[in-house]
Amino acid sequence: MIAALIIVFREVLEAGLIVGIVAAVTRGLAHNRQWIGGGVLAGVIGSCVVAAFVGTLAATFGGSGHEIFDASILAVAVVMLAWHNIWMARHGRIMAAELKAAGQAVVSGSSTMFGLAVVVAVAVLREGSEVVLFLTGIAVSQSVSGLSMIAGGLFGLILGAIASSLTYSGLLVVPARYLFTVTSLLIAFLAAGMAAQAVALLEQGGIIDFLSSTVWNTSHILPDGSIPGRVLHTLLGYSDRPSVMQLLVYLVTIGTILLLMRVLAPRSAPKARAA
Amino acid sequence: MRLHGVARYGSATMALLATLLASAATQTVRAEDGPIILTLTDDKFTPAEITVPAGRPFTLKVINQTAAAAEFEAQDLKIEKVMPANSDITVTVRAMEAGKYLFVNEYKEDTVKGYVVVK
Repeated sequence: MIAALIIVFREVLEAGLIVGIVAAVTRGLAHNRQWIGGGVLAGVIGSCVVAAFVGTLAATFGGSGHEIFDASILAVAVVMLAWHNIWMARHGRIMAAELKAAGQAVVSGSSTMFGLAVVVAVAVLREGSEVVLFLTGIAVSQSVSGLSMIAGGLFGLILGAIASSLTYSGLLVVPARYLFTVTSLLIAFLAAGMAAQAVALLEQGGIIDFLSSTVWNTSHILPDGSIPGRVLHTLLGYSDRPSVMQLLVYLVTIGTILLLMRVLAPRSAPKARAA
Repeated sequence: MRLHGVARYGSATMALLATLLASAATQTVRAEDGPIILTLTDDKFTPAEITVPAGRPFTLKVINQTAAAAEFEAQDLKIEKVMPANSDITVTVRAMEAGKYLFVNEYKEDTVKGYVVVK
């Protein structure tokens, strides 16, 4: 049962961190709970669909169908995150001032909420499909320990949800005047990490086969598979053995997002602009 | 003021990109040989140990002969792929340095595993 708990927890941890960050970032926006809940629900349904069609998916595109699918939805998530940051750079500071003045939830922002709901759905779908396949595999094998394994899996889900709410609470500790900068950076790193992950998937599928040499190997210091390694992998895009292409895409993604935020921010931004 | 910022970001990024590309330019090696075949059954991989040359990418074909889905994972090789029941998957591994790398069926990782020995 513990083995099943650990397996499921590791899968849902990444999605849990992302849900926690999105929840903190959208705090105060109208209907944010419904949007996030909708994203989670869409992700869960999507997981079941992917799990049901995983054989077909694996067989398309010369065997790389699953990698291409995952890389594509990650690319969509990257665009949504970038869009959110740029949108916030254009409207966020004004919104924050309005929030303080009006002392109530801001009604605008539904377009950026849709984008973040998509990000949540993508995160839940990617991990969820593996959890669904794992649990149905147990059911199929009809082993004696099946019930305790499913119970372990459910506990793993609960632990993942706890990690999610800890992330949310942790972010709320940040003082309000730094919150915009902190969440913008978090989202930029999240996007860059996802972009690098998409590259890794395409490398695994044999679609990107250039610039594949390993840049560094820190697996003896902080392995990807450890819990801190996984957390850093999700939050920062850390990899213990990144390829040149992954590092390139990571840097270009972060650089592009930060650049666009600077360039597209309104000229009359209030003096809160950081030096 | 805004243009100076753009110019700073732009040239820093270009310099970094140029350095990375230059350092990697001579290192493109493609996988040429046919895939190495692994077979997964309920309790093991066959063979449990395979050997590949260092510094060359290679492909692995894993055949899942069980009635349940499995997940082929080799963290140090940066490979993770779901295997549907009664089917096979193919993955590409980048050029690795010499060493012994673990792979597992992640859903049964304590018991169902093997090694890729890179020499």
